[in-house]
Amino acid sequence: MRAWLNDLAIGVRLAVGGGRTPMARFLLSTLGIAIAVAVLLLASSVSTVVHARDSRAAAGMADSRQIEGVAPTTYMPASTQWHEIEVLELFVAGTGPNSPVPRGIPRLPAADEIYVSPALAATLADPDNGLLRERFPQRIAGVIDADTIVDPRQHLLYGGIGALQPESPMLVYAFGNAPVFEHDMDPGLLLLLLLGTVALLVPVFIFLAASTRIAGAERDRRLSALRLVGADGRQVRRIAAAETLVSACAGLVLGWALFLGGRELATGVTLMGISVPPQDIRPIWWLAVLVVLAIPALALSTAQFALRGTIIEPLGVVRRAKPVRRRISWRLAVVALGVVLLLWRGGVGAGYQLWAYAIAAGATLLLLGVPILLPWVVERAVGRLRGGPTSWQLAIRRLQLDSGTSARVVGGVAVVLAGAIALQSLLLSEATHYQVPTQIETLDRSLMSVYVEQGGTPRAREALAPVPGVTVASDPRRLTTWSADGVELGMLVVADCDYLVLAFDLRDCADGQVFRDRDARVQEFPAAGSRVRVDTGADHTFAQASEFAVPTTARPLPATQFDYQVRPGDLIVTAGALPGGRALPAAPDNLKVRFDPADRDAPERVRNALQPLRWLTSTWTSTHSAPLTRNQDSYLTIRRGLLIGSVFTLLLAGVSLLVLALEHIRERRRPLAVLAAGGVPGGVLARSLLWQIAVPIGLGAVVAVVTGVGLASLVIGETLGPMVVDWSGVVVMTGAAAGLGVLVSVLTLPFLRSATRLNSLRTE
Amino acid sequence: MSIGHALLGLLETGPRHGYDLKRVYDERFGQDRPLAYGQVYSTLSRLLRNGLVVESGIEAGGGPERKRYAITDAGVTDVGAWLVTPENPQIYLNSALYTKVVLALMSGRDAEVVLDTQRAAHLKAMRELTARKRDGDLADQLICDHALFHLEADLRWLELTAARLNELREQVAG
Amino acid sequence: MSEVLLSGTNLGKAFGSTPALDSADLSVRRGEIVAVMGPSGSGKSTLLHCLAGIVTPDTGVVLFEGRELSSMSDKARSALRRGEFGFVFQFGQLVPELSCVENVALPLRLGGAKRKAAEATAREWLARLQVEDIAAKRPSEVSGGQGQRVAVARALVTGPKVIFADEPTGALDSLSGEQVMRLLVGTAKETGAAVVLVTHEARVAAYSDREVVVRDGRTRHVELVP
Repeated sequence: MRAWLNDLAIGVRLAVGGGRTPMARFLLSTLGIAIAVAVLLLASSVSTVVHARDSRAAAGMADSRQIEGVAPTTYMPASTQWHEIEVLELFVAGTGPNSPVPRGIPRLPAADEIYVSPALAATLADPDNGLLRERFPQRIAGVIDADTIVDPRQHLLYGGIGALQPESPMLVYAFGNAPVFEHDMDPGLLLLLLLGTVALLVPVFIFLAASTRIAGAERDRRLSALRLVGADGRQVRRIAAAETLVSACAGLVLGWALFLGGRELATGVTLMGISVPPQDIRPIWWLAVLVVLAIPALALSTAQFALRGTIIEPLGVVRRAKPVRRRISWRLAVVALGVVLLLWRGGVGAGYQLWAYAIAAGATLLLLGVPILLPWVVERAVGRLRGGPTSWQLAIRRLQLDSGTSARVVGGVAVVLAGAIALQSLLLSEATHYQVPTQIETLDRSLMSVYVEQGGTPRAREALAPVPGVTVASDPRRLTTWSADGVELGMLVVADCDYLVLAFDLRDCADGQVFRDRDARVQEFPAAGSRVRVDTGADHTFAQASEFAVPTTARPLPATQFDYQVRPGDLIVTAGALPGGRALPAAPDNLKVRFDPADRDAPERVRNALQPLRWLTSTWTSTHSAPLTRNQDSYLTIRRGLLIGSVFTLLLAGVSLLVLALEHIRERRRPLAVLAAGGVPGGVLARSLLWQIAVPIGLGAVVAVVTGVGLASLVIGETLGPMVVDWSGVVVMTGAAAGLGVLVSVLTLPFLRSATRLNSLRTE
Repeated sequence: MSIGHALLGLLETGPRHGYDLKRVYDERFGQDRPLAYGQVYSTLSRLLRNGLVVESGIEAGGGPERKRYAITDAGVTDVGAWLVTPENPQIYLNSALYTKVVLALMSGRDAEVVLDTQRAAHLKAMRELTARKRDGDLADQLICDHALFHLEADLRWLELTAARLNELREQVAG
Repeated sequence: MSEVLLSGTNLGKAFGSTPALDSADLSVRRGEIVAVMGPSGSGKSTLLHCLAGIVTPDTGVVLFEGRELSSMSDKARSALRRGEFGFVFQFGQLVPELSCVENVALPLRLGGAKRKAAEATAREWLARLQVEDIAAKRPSEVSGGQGQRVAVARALVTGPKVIFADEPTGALDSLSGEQVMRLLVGTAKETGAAVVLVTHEARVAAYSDREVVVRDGRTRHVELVP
């Protein structure tokens, strides 16, 4: 036991030997492992984050199921907007002493009080946001407990219901005990999630393995020196293990530090519309334990695996066999097994979870095939190359001698690339499957729609009248038409001149005119010269109707921003042109407001003016998206997560590439210095290093694209509908990988220069 | 090695008796071969004749052994010239050894034995020199090293010859 | 003469199809300094490696104190290298990460000695080889001659019975070489260690008590008739 400890102590001493070279080696591998640890911890926190979000969302949920003996709380949600920020307003009022109080506030707010979320409090406190402060004249009674808020960025307030009483309020008997529905995930989404996790974590493990193999040749030399002075074979392995363990443990500690430090920064970061409070980023305990145990174990096993083919002898390292050409058989076997799993799909159809797991396992194998196949591909590819300029020749000869290192270096990047291509294709194909709008339409920013609850229009107009610099018009009416023989036809748009001026900038509109939104691509309705019957009643019962002869000529509408109220081909009729038009019932409740687009505060003034109407109005300006189904929503969440993860992984791949490239230079310092001393220009050396990265990256990109597209097509197969490959995305991602290679080469240049200084020729 | 020049060099440090000169010479240079008394005086008389030294006085008691010699300006010039004149490199072949090797080959004997024996003898001499060097002062070390390097050169010739024995055998046979 | 300590009989070794040793014989007595001479590529280093148990010969027997090396386990042979043998090579045998004193202490520590005790002993040896002032430096920071003296100190630190020296002065200038040889031979004689000294330089071989010549993988022993 003593001897064991002694050996371990020697290993530790060797690992943290001090001196520049061993220190650099130690730092590189420690940093590598630390990054991997931090990423893994982050990954193992994802479900905690999601769970915390869910439980917080549940905490705010209002439950309107009646409870005996409880005086319900009147509950009325409304919303307003501050520039791009959505502010959720929840108005509450108790009906008795035991009326429930929402989580996060001590009591129900009085009529002139509000409780605000921390983010809203901060926004309100900003001196630039005076207009927003004006909107809430109520006293701020307190800040809502952050732990009950889903997203730390969320702007939320609880306010008391005052003079304006809701007509049909929600009666809430409890807050936060609404049942959370546990349901199995849609297998398609589960698959996406599993594939994403695999694509993101496989490179992390590859990077981890590469980190522990940094400076292999040097280590072999060191160990053989130990053998000479009488360390036996097992002792040497123990010492090597201790050495690896030191960086693994240091990496673990540093990784935790990175994770905890990075977590604190999370508050300030909003990625793709989501931000997470630091205390939520908490790895699941058993996953954290797994990371703590698995990283050293993995580091140890890779280090020992690297020693597998070698006998460390006192005179140096003896390869057990002559460096044989890499064999393809077992490499292909891994890939083949993956393909088989992908084709088999658990023997069940889509819609079963086993299907998703089988495909995920196959995909893992296929992705692992990239770093496994790459050394073989690189070896075969460079084996036949000859000639070329000096830098090319140096690079190719070097690769022929030892392609393993470079291939390993690039393997990580290639996996990321393959995974990203596969995911991207899968995402695109699934997007069509879930019919998620892939694009959000941008509307005219100087136009605002105001939705008004039944009957609120006069009050809204009244509120808007004093607002300077805005014009207001009612939305057009759309009236049902039918033919003489009673067949229901399309809709006829009846608009005021106010509206046409506001929406289409028609300066000379006069009542009695008729317009047409001309579009050659659609059939015009109602057709010119036809006759239709128009429902002009208030109750849509066709009780009141008038005959309308469609004029043969109509003024064309000018081209304008897209307007949901008028569709291409529509005929727009002013009230005077329609028989009985002037007697039409009141204009619809929705209003359009136009203001000067240069005046950034104009929409805020409009909202301020409408604020007293609370839930009676809501406004929207720039964006519109249809409400999403639960699966669509999950799909978007998963896609967001995957994109965030991809960015991380690509960064990781870049860092690993850099670390390994630097290590490569360090290890080959002397030959490089000899070349430089022999008069080989620095540019040639730099280019040869670039080739040494570029050639494997090029080959890696080919393997990655083939694997990625192949994987996507195998996964999508026939079950998920037609496959869509985002070729421009493939080009961009491949370009990014290539750019990463070039960037890394450029970053290594200063180190190359210092390595080729002639004092590198000096040795012990 | 010119004894005359060596004596002149010693006289440059100050006038000396002939007996003195022999003692100092033996001390410094005569490890292998001390000077004969007669050789000192014959050399001195030659130097005297050539005007490189002069008699600078006779001590009381008379007799040639009591004469003191001093170096002349011509003598100083001569020593100076001698010091900067390189020694003629000796192109030297151990002809006896060469003869032995060739004869061994011609008679079909093992020529390697000749070489091995010679090497052993050389190494024995070198070992003795090394031992003397280890116990001696700096002067001893320098002189021994000189001899050692010469012997080493011979040994290298022996090694090279050994490596070329086959070639030589063919030539001798042919 | 005292008894034979280490002997190799009829040693043969081939690397692939290249023969390196072909029935070589050598025996070393206690405290004896034996020079192994020969041109480069003659197999003298291989002979040393076989005798030291680093390389297992294809044919023949190596006996150390009556024990056959090739029948020993790797562990036992390693222990032998650690305790009974010492090594001084041309260069590169020092571990670059460790300081000089740690290098010297290494065999003791591998044998299970405590760090403090091992380093104290190591310091004594460094002083004996007149390099105590560089104890804290790394091998890359000292001169070649100093490095070799550290290597000699490390070879002697366990009180070995045999020191295997393979061209110990090969990378040094003449003067440093002299110093290293003097210290190596001097301390070996003082401690009674035998030395197997592989060299192609006659001046280095002259420090030995006896020489053996290796040519084409065979040893040639010559006894001079006195």
